[in-house]
Amino acid sequence: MIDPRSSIIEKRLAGVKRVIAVTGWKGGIGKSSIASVLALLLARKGHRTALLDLDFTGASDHIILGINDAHYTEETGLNPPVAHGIMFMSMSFFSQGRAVPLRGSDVSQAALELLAVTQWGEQDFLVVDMPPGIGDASLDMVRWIKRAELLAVTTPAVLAVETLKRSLALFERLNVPLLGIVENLSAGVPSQFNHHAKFLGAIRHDPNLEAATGHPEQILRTRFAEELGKIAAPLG
Amino acid sequence: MHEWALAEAVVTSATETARQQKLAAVEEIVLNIGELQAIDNEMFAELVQGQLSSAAAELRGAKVRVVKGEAAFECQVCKKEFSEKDAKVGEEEREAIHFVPEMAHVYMRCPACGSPDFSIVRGRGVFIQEISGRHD
Repeated sequence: MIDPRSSIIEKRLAGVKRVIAVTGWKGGIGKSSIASVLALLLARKGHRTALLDLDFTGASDHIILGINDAHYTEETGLNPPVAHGIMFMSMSFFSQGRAVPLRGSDVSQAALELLAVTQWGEQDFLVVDMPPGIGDASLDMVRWIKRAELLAVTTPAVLAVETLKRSLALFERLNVPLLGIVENLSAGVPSQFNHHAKFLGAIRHDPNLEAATGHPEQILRTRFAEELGKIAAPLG
Repeated sequence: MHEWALAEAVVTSATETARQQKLAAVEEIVLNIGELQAIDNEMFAELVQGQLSSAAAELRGAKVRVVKGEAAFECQVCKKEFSEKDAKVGEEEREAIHFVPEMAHVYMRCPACGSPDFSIVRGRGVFIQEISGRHD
């Protein structure tokens, strides 16, 4: 039996100039916030931007961006809705707010299905909120989308830093391109990664981000967005 | 319809396979369509057949045949094996499963113990079961 779906991924992404895979290897480090707000910032700068939430078991990009009523349409595949200037696809469209209890291989299967049937059209950026950790789905994603550039998120916490170091070494062995490292929830002191060639910058803990959740205009006025915007400036 | 995208994946994959197997002309493509995805088999075969007419030369004369794949599940908790009929799913939920079969874990439960933790043993979605043809 041949699964035909992986054969079509390259074609589905043919109109996408850059794929940025926002990844983090510890929970609660702000991966989804960075992915969502990065997409928002890129869209506001006039880039054609898409966001794919592949963190199925903890999908939250739609909550961060306040995308409540949008829905995909069906044509020669699934056309993601456009909300706040971002073309957006998420498993939340299918799970109707319920828990999504998927084992690792099922996450991969579901991700493959979405990659095979979603029509992204022409995009300057596709930001992917990656499945957390280094399990099946993460490894499959970088195998399916070889040109995805990793944006690795960490915090200053020792456990997050150590996990990041190990995971970076793994993905380096897999020849996955690293766009850079971002330290989130920074205490404002120099990061352990300051001297890393791919360290892009730090974002301080911003207590106002929580209150802005679900309100893109408010999010864009936060210090979090301002600092992420400076880090993302080289993207154009 | 999103089946068009899956049909395109079938044609792309079949083209790759035919070239790997150095087939000069593909005569038959057998598709196995799992019942969990609830795709209309006849309609899907027509979609693939239609796309083959503008595919690579070695695929243009291929006939498409569909084999229905019955869905079967096994509960990870109590090990009961069950069918799709055993797990009662509403129409709205079926639509979500139609687009992403893994949504079965959101809407289906083991009929014996009620657990959503089960494996899809077979009958998930679209597969190419066989490609046959001739070498020159």
